[in-house]
Amino acid sequence: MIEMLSFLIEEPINVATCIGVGMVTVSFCFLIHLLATFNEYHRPIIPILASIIFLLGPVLMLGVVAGQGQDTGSMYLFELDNFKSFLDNFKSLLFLWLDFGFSTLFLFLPLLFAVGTLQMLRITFPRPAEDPLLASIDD
Amino acid sequence: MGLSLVLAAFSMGRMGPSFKRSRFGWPLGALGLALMVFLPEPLLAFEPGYAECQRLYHCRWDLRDQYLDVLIGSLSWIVLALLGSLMIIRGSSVYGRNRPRSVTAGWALVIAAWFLMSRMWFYEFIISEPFFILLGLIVLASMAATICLHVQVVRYTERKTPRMPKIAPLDERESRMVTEMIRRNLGGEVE
Repeated sequence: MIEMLSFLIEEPINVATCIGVGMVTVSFCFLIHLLATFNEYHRPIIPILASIIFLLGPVLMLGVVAGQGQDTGSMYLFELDNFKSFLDNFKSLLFLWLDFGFSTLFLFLPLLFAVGTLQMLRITFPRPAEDPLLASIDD
Repeated sequence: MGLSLVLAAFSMGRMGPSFKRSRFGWPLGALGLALMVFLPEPLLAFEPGYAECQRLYHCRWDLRDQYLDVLIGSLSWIVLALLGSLMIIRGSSVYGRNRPRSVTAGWALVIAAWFLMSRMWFYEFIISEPFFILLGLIVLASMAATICLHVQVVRYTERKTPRMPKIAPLDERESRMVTEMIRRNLGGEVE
């Protein structure tokens, strides 16, 4: 455990990437939600702008500072030859981060399912009510 | 594209029957899922063979096989788990009459979901590398912080929204009409 933590400290880009992955995943979902549920009763301009900033900001920031050719997909976005390759790399980075984000959600879903299974056990074998008032209702 | 459609379908479905577009939730979700499963994504810019594969649709079939394996495996156990839980809840005495058959079938589905999950290489791989779990925890913390940020943004927007002018109280005719509507729905006599 200590080795893992020291690795994170030695390689802060890992922590920054993880923080960026979380921001990008949530902002992407929120942006799609705002666009899909757009209606006359909403005032979504500020939330949409915030989502775009939280979505593009981390990708651009880490894309600029991180080294090219790493497995994390980070690269010098602004040192690319032309705008098309910039867009290609940006799209790839965004795609990869969303992939990381949803993989993380899938990774922790079994814990949620374990809690759900415990709840199912509780309702399958209900205990008799301890409260005398509830017990009288049961009777 | 497929993921965006699935997310949009979920949001539309949650809008409720007062919005016509909520009817498109299920078909749009099915289309998004079909795109995710059947439409191969092109290679990413930094993946090996990217340049050679630009004109082909997909060159790295081993990666696609891994992706499909995780996606279909995850969807399978999630669907089984949801169906099983629903049957147990409906069959238990907590929310109605006790139906042992429904509970038994529900538990069979839940156990099948656990079995499928235990056979997935994705989870075996993650358990063998606890470092990924640590990184995942950082991602989850970041997600929670970002949700808080978005909530603050929405609260700020609502605070800045100009309030509607105060409406005038009901006149005599409107009062009688509302009273009559309530009386017809709830019964009782007007004093």
